[in-house]
Amino acid sequence: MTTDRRSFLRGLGLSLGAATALGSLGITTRQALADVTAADRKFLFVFNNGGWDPTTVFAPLFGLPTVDLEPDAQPMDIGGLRLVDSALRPSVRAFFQRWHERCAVLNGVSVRSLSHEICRTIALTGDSGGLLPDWATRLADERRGEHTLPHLVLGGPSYAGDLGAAVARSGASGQLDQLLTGDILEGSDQPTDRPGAAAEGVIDRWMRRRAAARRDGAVLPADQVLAADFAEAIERAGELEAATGDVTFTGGASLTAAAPTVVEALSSGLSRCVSVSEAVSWDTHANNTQQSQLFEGFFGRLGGLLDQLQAAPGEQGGSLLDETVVVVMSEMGRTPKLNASQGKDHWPYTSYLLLGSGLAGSRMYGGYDDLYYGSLVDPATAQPADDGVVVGASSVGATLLALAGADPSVVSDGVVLRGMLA
Amino acid sequence: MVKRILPLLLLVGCASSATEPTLTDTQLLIRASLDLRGVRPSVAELDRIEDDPDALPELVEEYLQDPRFGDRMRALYTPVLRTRIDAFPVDAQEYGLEDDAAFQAAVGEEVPRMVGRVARDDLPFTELVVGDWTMAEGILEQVWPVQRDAGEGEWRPARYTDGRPAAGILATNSLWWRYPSNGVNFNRGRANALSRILLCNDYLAREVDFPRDVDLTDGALVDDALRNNPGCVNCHVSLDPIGSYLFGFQYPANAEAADASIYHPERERGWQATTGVAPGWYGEPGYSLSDLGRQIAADPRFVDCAVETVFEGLVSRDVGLDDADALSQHREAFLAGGATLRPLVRSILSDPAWLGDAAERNAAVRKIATPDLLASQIEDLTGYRLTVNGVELMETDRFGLRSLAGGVDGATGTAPARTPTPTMVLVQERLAEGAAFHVATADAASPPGSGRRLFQVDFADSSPATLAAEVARLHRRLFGTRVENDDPEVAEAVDLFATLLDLEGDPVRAWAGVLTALLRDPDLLLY
Repeated sequence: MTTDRRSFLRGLGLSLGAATALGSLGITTRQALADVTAADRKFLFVFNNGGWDPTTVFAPLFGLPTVDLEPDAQPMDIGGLRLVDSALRPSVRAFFQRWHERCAVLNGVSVRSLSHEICRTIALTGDSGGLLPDWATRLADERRGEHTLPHLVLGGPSYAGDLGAAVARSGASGQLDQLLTGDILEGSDQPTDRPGAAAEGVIDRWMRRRAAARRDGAVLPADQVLAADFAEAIERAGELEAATGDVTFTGGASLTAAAPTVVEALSSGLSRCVSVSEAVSWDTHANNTQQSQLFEGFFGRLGGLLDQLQAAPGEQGGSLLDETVVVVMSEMGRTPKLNASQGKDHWPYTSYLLLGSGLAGSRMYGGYDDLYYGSLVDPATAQPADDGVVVGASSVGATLLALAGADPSVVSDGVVLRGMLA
Repeated sequence: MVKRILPLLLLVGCASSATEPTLTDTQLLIRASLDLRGVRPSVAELDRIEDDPDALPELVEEYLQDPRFGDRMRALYTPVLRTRIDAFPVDAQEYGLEDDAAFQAAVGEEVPRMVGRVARDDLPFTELVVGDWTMAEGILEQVWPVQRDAGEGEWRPARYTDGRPAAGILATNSLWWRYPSNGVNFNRGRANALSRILLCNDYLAREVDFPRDVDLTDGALVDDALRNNPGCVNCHVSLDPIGSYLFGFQYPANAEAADASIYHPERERGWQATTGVAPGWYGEPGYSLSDLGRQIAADPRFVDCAVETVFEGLVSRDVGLDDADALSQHREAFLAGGATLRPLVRSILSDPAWLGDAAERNAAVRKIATPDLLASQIEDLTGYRLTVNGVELMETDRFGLRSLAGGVDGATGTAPARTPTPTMVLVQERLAEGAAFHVATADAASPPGSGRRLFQVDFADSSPATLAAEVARLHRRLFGTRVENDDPEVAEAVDLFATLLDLEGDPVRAWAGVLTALLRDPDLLLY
């Protein structure tokens, strides 16, 4: 375990005292973005569960008989972004007006299935088996030694694969906080006493020595891995306990509720990656106007979260947002045509919104054809090309790994969309 | 060394492929006890195997006959069934109940409890798809058309009283609440759930390259493609007829609780107005849900899947092509035993993969305790259970610790953790604290030798010899190891006791602290 606890705590101080707007530091966004190295990048994954409808915002497929857009849908061109607007979605418009320079919209990503569970797995890992680590965990594991909780999962699906020691869930209702404080015992049916603080510290140290000895004494390779992971988990748990109260692990039923924890975890160095998901279902098979309401609410809250990331200082002289890649996604898209219930069903192509450090923003990438299949794409430009390749979730993963300075070839079938990189 | 493994092999009438094991007799006994009963061996059992290494198969046989065997098979099937999701489409308030957590937990348990009964009572595994019974407790009996049999225990065999077909888990509310149909896919998702659970054939795991020559936006063309496009027909020719059996559980959007609680024979023919595909099982036509159950029961893949599922659950890894011979052997044992689970498990326990043979591919030399297994062994040792309003915190994510402890939530987390995680050891830590203080306080209220649960020490006696003897005894009970009083591990724990006594000023609290440390040992999590 090589966690730099001093930098973690120093970071906490910085984070908690971060009321200064970066404008007063005289640092421009472009300068800050350019100064961030791949290894410094942090990642925030925002997962919208249930399958969003890209035609509501991301896919301006006007005039196609094969695609049903909203009756009042209008083109919305902001910077280089070509989006879909509606009078019902002022928050979406305001979001892109404020953040379009950082936004890269990737359309037409194949998730190869119509099942929520399978699409979730593919969208997050590139594979349907559920045994591979998700992108956030892979990215976190790249800098595993530098963070106490490399991948903090405040909500949503998570696939740890064989990298479990790098992943920690907070629980849906603050269970991690209750674990750290010990309150989980007090509220139980058999409330018990616990060791005093000093005694607990003694036991913790005793445990660390015992776990380390077990790790060092393991002989068989399989044993060595498990013993090492146990020892590492004990160390990380101890670090967390030592910082109890400095960070509150809010479950994150909404982006607004999760925002303080996201900012603290990323700015303090506690985590390289944070995953969040709102307690909202996007699986609207009837009355597709629900999608409009979902996007409107979501982008309002996402904007608020970005404001907080922007207000927090990063480690490289810019803002925390300058050092952070925000990945906004949903496991699938929805059919282009309305069904009998005026809703839309599952569709195997979807859109991603990527935002922040290292991306060439204010641009649209990928695309949909007239039948609403994902367009073939030239990886060099990430633009549609007849002789291009299908863009799958693996390509998103490979591109994220490239953004992090990691080896993207570990993702089978993943093609780095170099055209998206700044 | 071979003598240790041989008795187990002989137990199942097979003495082939005996190779070098890596686990000691004691470790094998612990593994067997945890896998078959969910608790650690007693000291008497440990002594017995030390006195007579040939006692191992006898003890394993005793464990197999333990009633808790049903609970372990229930736990083994939980990640496969994925019904414990905490969030069914109907909640307690719709029935006028206040405790939604208890209601959701009960719904999620119905099907796993059926697996547990099949295992415990040596019923043929086919009962899961042809039986005319379910399992229910008080809440389900109150809100569903279910009548429990007379008997003991909260969870008991029960019968639906709404005249639904006899089809085991296929005729349960909870399975179809867990796998609802959205109204436009005509039960195809449900059909796949059955295929995945009962045939180990997950259509959805087949990654689909949606043919670009089909206009998926045209319903008529899609229907035509489902019948004629080779890329579509490959799955739909078998999937759609299975879905057509399930229209009796088709609920309208936003169905009320009353509608979703009963079976709807009047909707059984719903396929005629939707897919137009008649019910059938891989080409064999059928009529009712009971037909489907009989067809599944007669399908050889049903047996193969049961063998594969139990094997994977017990050896903690996926099957591979090179497991074919072993699986064939276990299959024979399963069928020879009347397709009951005990003979199957008995056979798998002789497999080098379960025995931790180092030469075996990806041998599970150490397995990770699932949250429920961690909880059950600690409860057995200390009498402590971590519950809130009766709901096991290790079995829910709503306000519990299941996912944090590496468990499966049934919805987004569909595979248990494969390595220790920070939150897993935090859960172990708190569980250890609660259990240690619970049992130390309780045992201190009784004199030694008077029905205490774990501690035998005189809490007022802090002499070095007494401390060392008690630590050695705890090692024996918790880890199955025999350590001498002057062993360095004992000395470390005695030193810990002394430090804690200084800090806490109370020998009971000091002993609770020592036990906390021991219960946090990796050997409680890895076995």
